[in-house]
Amino acid sequence: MKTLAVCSLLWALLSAAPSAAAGPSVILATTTSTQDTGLLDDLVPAFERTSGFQVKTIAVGTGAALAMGEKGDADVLLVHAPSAEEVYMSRGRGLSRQLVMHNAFMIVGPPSDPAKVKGIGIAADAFKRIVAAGSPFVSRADDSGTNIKELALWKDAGVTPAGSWYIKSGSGMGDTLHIASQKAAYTLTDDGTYLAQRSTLSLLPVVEGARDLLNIYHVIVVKPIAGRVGNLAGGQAFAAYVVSRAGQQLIASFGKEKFGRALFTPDAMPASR
Amino acid sequence: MAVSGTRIALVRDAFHLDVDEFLADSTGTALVGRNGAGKTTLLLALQGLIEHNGVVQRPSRCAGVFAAPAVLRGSVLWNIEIVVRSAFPASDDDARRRARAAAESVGLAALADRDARRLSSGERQRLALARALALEPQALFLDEAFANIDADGRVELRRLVRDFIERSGCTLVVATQTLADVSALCQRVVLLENGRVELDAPLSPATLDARPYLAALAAEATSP
Amino acid sequence: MAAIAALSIAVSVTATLVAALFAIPGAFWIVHGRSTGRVLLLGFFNVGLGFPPVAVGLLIAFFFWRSGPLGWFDLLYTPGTMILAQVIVIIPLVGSLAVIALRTVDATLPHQLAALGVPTATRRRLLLREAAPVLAACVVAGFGRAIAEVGAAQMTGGNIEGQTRVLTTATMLAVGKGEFGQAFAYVAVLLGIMAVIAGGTLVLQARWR
Repeated sequence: MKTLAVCSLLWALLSAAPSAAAGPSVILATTTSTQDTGLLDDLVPAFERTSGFQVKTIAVGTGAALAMGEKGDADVLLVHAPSAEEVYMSRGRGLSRQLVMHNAFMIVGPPSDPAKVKGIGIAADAFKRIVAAGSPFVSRADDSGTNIKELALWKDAGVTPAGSWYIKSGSGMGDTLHIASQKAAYTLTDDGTYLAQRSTLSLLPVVEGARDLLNIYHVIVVKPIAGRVGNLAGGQAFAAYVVSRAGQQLIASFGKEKFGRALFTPDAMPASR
Repeated sequence: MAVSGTRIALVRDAFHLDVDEFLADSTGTALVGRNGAGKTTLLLALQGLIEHNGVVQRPSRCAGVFAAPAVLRGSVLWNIEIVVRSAFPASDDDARRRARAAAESVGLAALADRDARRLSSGERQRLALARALALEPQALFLDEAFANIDADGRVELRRLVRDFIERSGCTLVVATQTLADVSALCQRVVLLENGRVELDAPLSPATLDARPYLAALAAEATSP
Repeated sequence: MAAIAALSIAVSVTATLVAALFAIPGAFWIVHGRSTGRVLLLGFFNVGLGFPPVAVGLLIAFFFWRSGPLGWFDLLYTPGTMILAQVIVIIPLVGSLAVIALRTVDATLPHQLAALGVPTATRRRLLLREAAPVLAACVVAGFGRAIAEVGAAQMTGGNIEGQTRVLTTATMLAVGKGEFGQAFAYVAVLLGIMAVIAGGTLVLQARWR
């Protein structure tokens, strides 16, 4: 009995020890939307295979990811809120920031489209109409890249969203879509997550392709804090990988098999020689 | 080897025990008294199971039998065996032999493999006696050890104890409510009342007349 | 699925054993010990029952973040911190149940054995043996609580595929992804594990009777 306990303690300690290979793991802080689309399930293992680094992918949302970078709790960030990222970089917490890919946000809503927003060319205008109609709208309200974009759109629309029609889910994109689906509400989503979960939702895209709906992803290498554990080399290697030919090709093809179209458009494809 | 105690004083749950002197040897000392007089408390103190302010001298190997014996998960035989093994760490076979002999001596041979938790109260008391005697103690403390045993069983078991005492010279202290136990096993009577010794004298008709409770004990033995 | 289930089991079994290592002797001390400090431990067990696991997860994350006081060890997002979280969560449960279990044993048993000259170590062993069937149920209850934990497991483990993804956190992710079939599959496996453990315990207890 006692030996069993000792063995399990040893196992616990051993499993907690960092892998022998390259020192501490590389902590990648990223968004729940990249995780919910399944992109990371392909991208990260591909990187690990070619580089030999071990990556811990922590999907928390852009706001939290930037906070982790701020504190030195992560080595590299993959996020999609350019305005917040610029603030972050101006504080000197990032060694490099590179454009990786984009997809588009879209506004989705109940098939009946009670606010009659379908086909509107500017997202901020659609938001105005949703408010005017008093239709329910679900916000992620979690400081994620999508949420930051949503709030920026409200600002453009000149509206401060509040009231019983404005539902704050505090959840990831997938959960938020399901809430909107259940409550026949509108919401802002990235096209990747919506595509991936479309079959389980009773929501239809109402506004897409608008200029103010671009969803742009950057990879930021965190500037290490002296005296802290970290893996700068690993972080830099990951950033290099996602903008490399191999990484960009992987991004370009992701989703084609499963959904019939790529979920992301790579933006850093190196010029072919 | 005798058991002697001096100035045994303690307070337990608002009960005060105060015994100046106590002596017992192989001639057997009986502790009698009403319920709550302190017989069990005194026995516990003499065995060193509760703390007190006095001094007790007793042999190194003692055995106590409680009024409501606690048994372990396992057979009757195993219950005796496990106790014997701690006293005689010789060998498992030896312990089993002793245990079987003890079970036979108290009439539990047929129930040797029965789960001890399923014994009747009388059978439990036989078990408790068996495991105490199997230890071959130098001092034996019995607390109402025959209370639930059937009449002919009691005669048998008293004889068993007496034979053992005579063979081994073991000191005997018996707390009981039954005169037959007293007269069969002891030559000395200590009457306790409210935690104090009322009377400490050799057993005799005169002694039994000396106090109302003792007279009642005697009368109960023969009353209809 | 197999890897996730295996990790769930490994983490929770380890956590349960470690927790029992602390909780059961603690319960012993409470029931059969002497000092007045016992009340404090009993209080800790009883109050700790209500302590939210998600708070435990957050506290551990706070200490083991790289920016935290224990960040130097780089232990966050490993099974080790998940085990630590589960241990802290279930010690009060196993402890308070063990106290109840030990009290089912005849309270005079230690005295009666002592009266027969049984040495202290053997007495303790026999007491443990008497309480074993009920203590087994306490340990199993602890395991059930540990393996069902999701908030603390997410915060301390990070739900990293192949490293710290367990059945509960995988279920949450599957729901977030809209993969409901997969989510139900994880839940079914979790329930299956619980059923096997419960069944095994029943068999063991029957044999002990």
